[in-house]
Amino acid sequence: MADRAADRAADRAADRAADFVARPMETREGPTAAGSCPVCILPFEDARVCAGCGWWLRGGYVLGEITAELERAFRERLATARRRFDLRAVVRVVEAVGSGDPGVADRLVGLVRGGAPAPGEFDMARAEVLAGPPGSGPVDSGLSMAPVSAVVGLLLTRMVAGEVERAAVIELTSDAVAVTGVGTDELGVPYRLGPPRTWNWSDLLPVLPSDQDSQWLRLAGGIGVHGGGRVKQVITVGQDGWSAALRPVRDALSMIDASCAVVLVRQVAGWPMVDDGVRALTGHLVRPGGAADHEAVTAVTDTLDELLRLAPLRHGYGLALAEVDRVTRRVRLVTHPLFGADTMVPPGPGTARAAEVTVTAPPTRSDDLTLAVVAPVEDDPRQWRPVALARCTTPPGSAVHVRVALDGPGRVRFLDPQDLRIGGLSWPRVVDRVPDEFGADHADVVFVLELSGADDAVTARLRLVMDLLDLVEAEHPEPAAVRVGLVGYDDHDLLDWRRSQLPVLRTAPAAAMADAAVVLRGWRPSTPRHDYAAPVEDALHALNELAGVSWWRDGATHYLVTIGARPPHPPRQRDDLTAPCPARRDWRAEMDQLIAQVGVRRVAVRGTPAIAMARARGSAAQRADAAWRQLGADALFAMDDVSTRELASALGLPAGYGEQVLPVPLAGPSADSRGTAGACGGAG
Amino acid sequence: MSMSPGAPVPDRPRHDVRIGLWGAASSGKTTYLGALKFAAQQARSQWRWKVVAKDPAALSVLGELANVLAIQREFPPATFGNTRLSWSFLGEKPLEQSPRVGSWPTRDRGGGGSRTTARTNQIEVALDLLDVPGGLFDDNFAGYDDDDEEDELDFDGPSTGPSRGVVHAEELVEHLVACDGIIYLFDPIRDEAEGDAYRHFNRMLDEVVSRAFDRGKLIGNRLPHQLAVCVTKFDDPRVLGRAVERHELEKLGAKPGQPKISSDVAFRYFNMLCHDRPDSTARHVRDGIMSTFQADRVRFYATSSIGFYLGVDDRFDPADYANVISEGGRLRIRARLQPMNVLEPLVKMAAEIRKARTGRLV
Repeated sequence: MADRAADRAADRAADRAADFVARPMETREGPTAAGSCPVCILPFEDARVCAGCGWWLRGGYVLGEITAELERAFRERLATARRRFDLRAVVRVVEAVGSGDPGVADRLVGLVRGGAPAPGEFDMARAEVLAGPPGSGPVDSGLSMAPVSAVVGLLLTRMVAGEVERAAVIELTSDAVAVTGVGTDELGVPYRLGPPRTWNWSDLLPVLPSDQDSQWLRLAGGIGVHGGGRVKQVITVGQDGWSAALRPVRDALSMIDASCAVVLVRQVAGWPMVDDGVRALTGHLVRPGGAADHEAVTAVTDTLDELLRLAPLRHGYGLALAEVDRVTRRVRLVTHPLFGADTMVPPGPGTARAAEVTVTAPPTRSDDLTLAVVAPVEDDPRQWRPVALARCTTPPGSAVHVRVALDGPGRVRFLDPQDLRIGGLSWPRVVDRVPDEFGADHADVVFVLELSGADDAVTARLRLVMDLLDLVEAEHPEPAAVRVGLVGYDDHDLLDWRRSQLPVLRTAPAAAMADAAVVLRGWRPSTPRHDYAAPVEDALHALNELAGVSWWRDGATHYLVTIGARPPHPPRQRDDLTAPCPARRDWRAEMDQLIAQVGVRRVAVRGTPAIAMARARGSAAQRADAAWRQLGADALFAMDDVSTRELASALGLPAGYGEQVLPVPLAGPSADSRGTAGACGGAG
Repeated sequence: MSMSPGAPVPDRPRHDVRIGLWGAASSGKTTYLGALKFAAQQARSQWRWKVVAKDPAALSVLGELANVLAIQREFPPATFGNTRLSWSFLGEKPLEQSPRVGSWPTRDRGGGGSRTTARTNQIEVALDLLDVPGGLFDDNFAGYDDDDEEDELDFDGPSTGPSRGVVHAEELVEHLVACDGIIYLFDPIRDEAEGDAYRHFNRMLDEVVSRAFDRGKLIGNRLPHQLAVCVTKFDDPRVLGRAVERHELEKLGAKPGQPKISSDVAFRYFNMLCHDRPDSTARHVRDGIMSTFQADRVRFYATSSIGFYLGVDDRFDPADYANVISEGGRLRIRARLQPMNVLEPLVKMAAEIRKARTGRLV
């Protein structure tokens, strides 16, 4: 009978929990309230055993007088129960905040009821807390502790995926309740929408002790002495006034859009009163007709910032590179993947993921090379979203090892190379600087070669060209940009009219340097037929008129390199022994046409004729000088002392790229990448 | 090809005209001789001419020169020995074409001359030429060694006896004195380059005048010779390019075939050379000529032994007329020989000489 009566009393006490406090009273052993458990202050009516802490509220009858000894024993038993009850709360507080507040344990032990703990009593309390369920205490919290990835990841994944635009994060900390709006930017990176709105626990529950240590002890499920004595209200676990207490929070939440998810984040584990608050808020959020779409999740211990850092990537991140078509030379921006979509930083403080790739610096001036980690959200590179930009200086054409760390969505650090300069051009400016085409300056070089003469003289001319081609092939950053045409001229046979009408040219249309070299190796000297002129004019005419032969490319720099000894035939007989061109071609007119139509730069290498021009008498020698000055208007060398390098420099061939700039690296054959996860440190 | 100084002089032809050829080294004397055959073959006057060698030497030279000039298309090598050449120029004029057969063609081709019989529509002009090295005309010539193969001057060491060169020089003087006329080849290119025309001219002229005086052949204080001053190499652009104005050059191509450049142009050009340079010796040559020969016996010719180059249209092209090509340091003849004013001085001179002897041209 007595047990049943006690059970009924306990039930009634639970029913009256909404009254918050009943019959408060205060003793030296801490606050008490009439009709409440003297240990956990949980109200009761007829229960024999406290439903919250198991204290025998109503024991069996005592026969005889209540002796002092009995009272002393009861008081000791009660003090012990109260002390141990409060010590468990102290343990919870120390577990939550002790790392940042080393003295909190001593301070809170001083607040427990029942006097100083006996030796081993605190450790025993700690063992009980750690061994028991998270909410172990007077009232089981009933809250499960799901892993962070499962609890928050789902929401953040939905947010990153764009399914949820915004969320409200309700953080229940040791000191307050905070509501923070969280959104995602265009990259899907979650961020705080503004400063959190915060309610201290003492604002929500004014009857809580004002002293922070006492407040923590109470929130952690303890009671404490709090100055002792009878009080009107003792707010503690199980009280049913949460609805009213949390009204300010609920009012704030009601302003949130219905599509907005709400996350409850409990940053203190196992504090029963906080769990009560979580439970109360959860009930509010999921009650029918309220906010059915709200995501009511619970119980993580990480800070909001950490939660945001652990969100997955909406878009993959890659290193922006230039890709140059080998044929068309068109430049296309591409990305080399570094971190794929949905990548998450592994949980844990300071963790990051790392990725690395080796790319190639442009083979031109690259003192301001931009390393850009972007999210290629659109096909148009201009629409790509920059995540991290840095500049570096690299030797032309060198391999560049790039290593980056992902600290979270939108948070990328460059680890390598070491000499980075952060910032620089904005991504649109970088895109603006990417040329439509890139490559070494196209150079079309046509060699016009005198092939009649002594073997050694002609061979020297051919050797000069072949050496030049070898040099350029070896040193030019992009040999394919150079095309070489060949026009060799033999002598007119002026002593035979029929043969004088025959073509005297050997031609090889513009081709790769290697192909031109093959042609040159097959050319042999021919017998000279005239001492004072050679058919340069026919060669120039061929460059102007030779149908079906492409000597020059649009956009290329055009070079005409004449290598010979004798000047061109004049178009008509002059006052010397130089024979005119049988076809009456005027080399000046042909040259003028070339200049006007093709814009050639003229370089010449002049050798010494076998027969001195002075022997032709008249104006032959002067005309020869004038002709060679024209043929070599941009650079004129003497065959006897020209060097291959000088000639190449005059043509500007080794430089290759001129003033072209490519602001981002090239994807090269050396490019590869690896990704790692873990703690990363380095530049940036 | 050469004859020794003591060789017997062949019988003189019926109409003996003895003509000497005079010119500096490389002035084209041998080429001129070789061109005579072609000039005779190509003559297009009323008279047709043919050269006939009258002795084996002349025959050999005739063939050799033709081969060198027309086949090898080169210029004959320098002459290094005296070569006496006896040739006959046989002229023929068809009876039906002219009632005045036997008359000498004159410069205007209508020239006067005596009538001849129906049997005399053929005529023979015998030429006895001495082709000598140009060096023999040199003012400083002191003979040459047997080993010499060039027209070189030799100032070294006194000779103990008359060298072969000195003997040749003596023979040359005798030859020129004995000649009725002299063809003097003036090479403007050489003179421009070497300035030695007068040097080659002066001593020989003094020797000839002295010997002619000794022989009592002077007319007054002047030589009795006809003199044809042939300004040579007129085909050469270095000559023609300066001798004529541009518009004159253009006119040369007005008619098909080889153009004819008049004596006036030659004389004008020669005078121009005299005044061209302050140090030109051409003026001394001109003064020597004018003071030594009788003015009416001196004529100037614009001569080219090889003629101009004519293209496939057989027309002079002012833009391309040089008939020599320099190849390997040697001048080669570009096209067939078409001598200009090569035969003309000879024929004219012979006509004048005959006229002076007989009072008629034939």
